[in-house]
Amino acid sequence: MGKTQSKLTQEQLTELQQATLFERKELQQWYKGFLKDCPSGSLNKAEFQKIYKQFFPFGDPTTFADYVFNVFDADRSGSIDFKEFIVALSVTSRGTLEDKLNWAFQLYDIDGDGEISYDEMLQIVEAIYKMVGSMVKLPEDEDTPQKRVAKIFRMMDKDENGSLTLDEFREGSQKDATIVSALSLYDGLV
Amino acid sequence: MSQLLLRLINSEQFIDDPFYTVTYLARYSEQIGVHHLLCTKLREFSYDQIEFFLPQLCHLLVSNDSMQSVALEDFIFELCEQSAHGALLTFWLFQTHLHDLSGNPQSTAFKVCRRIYNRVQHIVFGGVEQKKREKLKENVLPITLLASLILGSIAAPILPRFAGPLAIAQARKPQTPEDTITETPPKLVRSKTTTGASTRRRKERPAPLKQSLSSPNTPPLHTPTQGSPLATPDATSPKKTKPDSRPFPLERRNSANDLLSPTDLPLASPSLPDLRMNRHSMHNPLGAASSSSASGSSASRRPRKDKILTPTLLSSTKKIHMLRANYFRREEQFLSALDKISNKLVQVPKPARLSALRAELALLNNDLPSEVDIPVICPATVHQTQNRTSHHRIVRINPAEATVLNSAERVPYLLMVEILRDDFDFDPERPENVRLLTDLLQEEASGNTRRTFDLSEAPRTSSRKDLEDEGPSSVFEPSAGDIGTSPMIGMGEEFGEALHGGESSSTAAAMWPRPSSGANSMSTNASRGGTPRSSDPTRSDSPSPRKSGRPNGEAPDLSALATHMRTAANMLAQLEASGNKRPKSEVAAIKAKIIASMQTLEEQSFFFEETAPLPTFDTIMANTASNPLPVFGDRDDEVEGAKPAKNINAEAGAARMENDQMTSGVERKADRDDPSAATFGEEWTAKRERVRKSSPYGMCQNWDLLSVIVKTGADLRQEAFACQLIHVCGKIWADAEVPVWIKRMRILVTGESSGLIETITNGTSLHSLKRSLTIASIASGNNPRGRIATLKDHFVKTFGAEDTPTYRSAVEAFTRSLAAYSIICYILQLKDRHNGNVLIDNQGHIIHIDFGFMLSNSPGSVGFESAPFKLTQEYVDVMGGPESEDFARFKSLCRQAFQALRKSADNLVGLVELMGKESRMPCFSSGALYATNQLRQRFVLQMSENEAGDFVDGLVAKSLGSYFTRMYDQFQYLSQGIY
Repeated sequence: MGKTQSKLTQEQLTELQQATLFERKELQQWYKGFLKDCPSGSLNKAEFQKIYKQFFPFGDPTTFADYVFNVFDADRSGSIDFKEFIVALSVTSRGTLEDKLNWAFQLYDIDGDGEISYDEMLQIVEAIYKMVGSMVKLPEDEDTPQKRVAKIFRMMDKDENGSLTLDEFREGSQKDATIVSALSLYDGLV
Repeated sequence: MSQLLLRLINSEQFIDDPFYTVTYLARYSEQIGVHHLLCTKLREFSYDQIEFFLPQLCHLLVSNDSMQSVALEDFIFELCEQSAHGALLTFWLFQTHLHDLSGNPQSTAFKVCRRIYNRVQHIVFGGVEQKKREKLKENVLPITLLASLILGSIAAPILPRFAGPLAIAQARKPQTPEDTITETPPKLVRSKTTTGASTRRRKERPAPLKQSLSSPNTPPLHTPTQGSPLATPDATSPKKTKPDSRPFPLERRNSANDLLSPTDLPLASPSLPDLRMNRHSMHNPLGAASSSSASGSSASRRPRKDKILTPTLLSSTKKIHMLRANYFRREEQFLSALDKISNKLVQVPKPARLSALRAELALLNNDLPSEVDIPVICPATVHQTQNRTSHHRIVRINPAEATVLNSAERVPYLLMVEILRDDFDFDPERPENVRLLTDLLQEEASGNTRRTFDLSEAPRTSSRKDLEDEGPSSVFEPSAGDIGTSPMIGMGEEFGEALHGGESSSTAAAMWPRPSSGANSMSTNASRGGTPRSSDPTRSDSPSPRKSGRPNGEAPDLSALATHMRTAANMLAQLEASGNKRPKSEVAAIKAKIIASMQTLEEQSFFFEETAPLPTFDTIMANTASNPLPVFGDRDDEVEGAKPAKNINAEAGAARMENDQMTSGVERKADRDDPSAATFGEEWTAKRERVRKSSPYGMCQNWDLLSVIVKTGADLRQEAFACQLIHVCGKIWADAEVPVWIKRMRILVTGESSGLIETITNGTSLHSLKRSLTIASIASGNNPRGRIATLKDHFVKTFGAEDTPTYRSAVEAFTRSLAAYSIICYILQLKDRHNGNVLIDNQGHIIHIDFGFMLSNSPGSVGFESAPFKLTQEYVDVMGGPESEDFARFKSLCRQAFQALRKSADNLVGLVELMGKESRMPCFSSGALYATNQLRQRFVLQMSENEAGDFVDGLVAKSLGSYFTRMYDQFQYLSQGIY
């Protein structure tokens, strides 16, 4: 799907319909929007970071943007094409809680070994804190990345082995109301 | 860099005044995150503070193509929902922007403007908003961010909570090209981008038959407005009718265009649907009320008897909305009526205008008291604690106190508006609001929504008829006649006579139509005897001051003088412009010679009589500009031998003074009878008490009086902008504790050619002061040479001898205000500073008004007023001369004032830059960039503080007794009769 075309073909539509929770008409509509914002037909890392800088002018979002980019870029091609975009959109806006957590797990499992180590979680939390900067007033028990990660592990690491499996990750997250509500940020808006 | 910016945004300065936030919004318009943060900060300010900068905020929205952020737009919508005044002002501002942009309806700016305008209109007149769950648009970039916020939720749930709303707002951003609609044909249905929203709404509110039928008729409602179709396709498509989003027909424009024509009666012609009916259905609050349930919605479409008649059945939100909508409607109708009156007066012969005005106002009073006020000039009270706002209710406009002001083309007029403070709000539980809601529902049910303040329904002829019927039995002398039959018109009597003569008051009395319903008009009539204009019989038979001048035979040929002066002025200006081509010494010599001849002329000038057609300033300037440059060698001949011109006029000066008398209460009487009282006749508080006594509402504790000028046909935006800049300077000085003084002036802009101006109630123009003093002194025989009175004469007469405390405090007031306005005049390059535009108030303050020329434009094509600011010999004399302590203090205040402004120069420049972008204001006619750069240069930021101090001293020295200033005054005196 690398080539820029003004409309999706029937085969592409069928493929995307199966991969996402969108109707054909919606897919066509989103494709139009995608081309408007990404005329080249894909979004590379630099462009991706630029979005973050727009929204987080007072912090440093580059590290977090890089991690996120890798999750979006499922085929590791170095750019996000329409399919990768629409799959992400489908999961995050219309997927179940389980869908979202499954997808999110990839962000935290940086090395892809199927578990989230303490260090991996710390890297992500640090990246987020760096991005947000001083804009958000954090509660005292999580005002440093270390405190926050410790809190997460207290909550999720049932076997206390210092790393989180997908199951632990999913269960632990679903028990936390703030995480659940954060995950439904834009449910129903797409 | 970003940390620095963040610290700045969170600094005290920013928190204190939205000024900085507003200029930073312009500066960082491309940065989404910064914009959102700034708009978050805007929400922390009080309504008053935001209202002050509303013109900037709205201007930013339409002038900034590169603005990616929707934060400001959302902020404005929120403001409109929260504040009734905010909504109305925004509505009017966008109306003026649409007008400006209508020439280019394909531009992005126009589309953005129209989109926001329609939305605001919807908030103002439409149904209850339901945007909370509004779907996202295909904005891929912010949506990518949203998706990744979900990813981060587990590590930091606080992240989506913080950044989510911002990303969602951006993701909702309308995609301009798709979202707005092509103009023609109007039936074009909006593209499928918004199907989601449309179907949703359609489900909630099935289009009633009436709506569908009337829809095709909608375009004619809009087309006469300004040639720019504002309709959304939703409104024009029968299939997708969204009644609540259809734009409100711009009746004010319609009415302004149609003027007196009988066809402007909104009573149906077959091709034009009845506006009132349409509005009625459009604003049907029941429709909105029933939208929540399907059964309810069908119920409301059934025949009328099924309609809800008791407000108790409505939700509180619906009730508040009904009350607000009622206020918006009334307000719009009220202001429309004021506009209409002005347009009617233009067509009435001058001698009859006052009578016509009063007759119209008497009609207007029939619909008062009502839920109307005047935003900006009469700001509502925001009760911080209870989170509610109460408005001041206009209860009466006393016709006897209203006057027509002299003006070349249009007919502005002065109103004394009686209000009751904090007299209405939108609290649905207040008993009177419950009653009002019941009335509104009943009107609604009867299908007979009455248009208030509808002057078109009572055409002039009918009031005349009333008159004739009533005539003989009236207590007032009907014999003086009415507009149509008055012999006064035939006599062609001079306007001022009609205005001040006894006859005109009886004319006015006779003009009042028989009160149809109200005790209001009755009591108006009854109290009339107490008002000064009708109760001073001595006026009509006393000679007017103009006639007390020297006999015509002795009058010198002043038209010739004026011509000389003009020619000389022109030569000087030309010299100034092209002088560097000639040797310096030669230029200086020529200048000196011209100036000497002008000084000779100046000495010759004194009071004179002349009746000639009134030249406008423009024609004079045009003549001046078209004069060929005189050959320098012949200049003496030129100056002395020029032919007398006929277009000079003292009448203009007299007319100007009459205006002053009307607005400030200067007694004309003083001119002839009592020279010592020749200044401020009726003090404002005294006048207010007098009007209060004559008012049926006067006994109310919260009664108050406003004095406003209604101006139609003039674009007041630049005027309002100047007032704003002056006020900003004032605030900078207050913050820096520089003890200078300025007067805050409030102007309400209601359209690109209409508005209201708050009157300066205790001030009189320098021109009028000098003129009346001069006339008085001549009349009393103390001034055989006809010397023109000076400002100092006025100070001594008004405030006592030079060493008295009252005189001292007046000089102090004068000094402090003069310093402020001097620096303002220099910085803003306020021009056309003749004495008619300079007021002195009853404490001695000087106040500048009339800001048609500033920044980069000046009257005519000639740069007359080249002095940094106006500092005449007589100003200096008031302060005790150039060596006096007061003058030293003046200089020191100027320095302090300038230094303080320099510290805020960036922001002042930013404010001007912001408004200059895509501006139609004449002050930017030579280019916004040029105007802004020149402004920046005037702050001499490259100088050190000490150098800047010396620089101000230099400005003072240059201004002091500038020949150019004197010349300009001379020119104004001779050509316009302005002293």
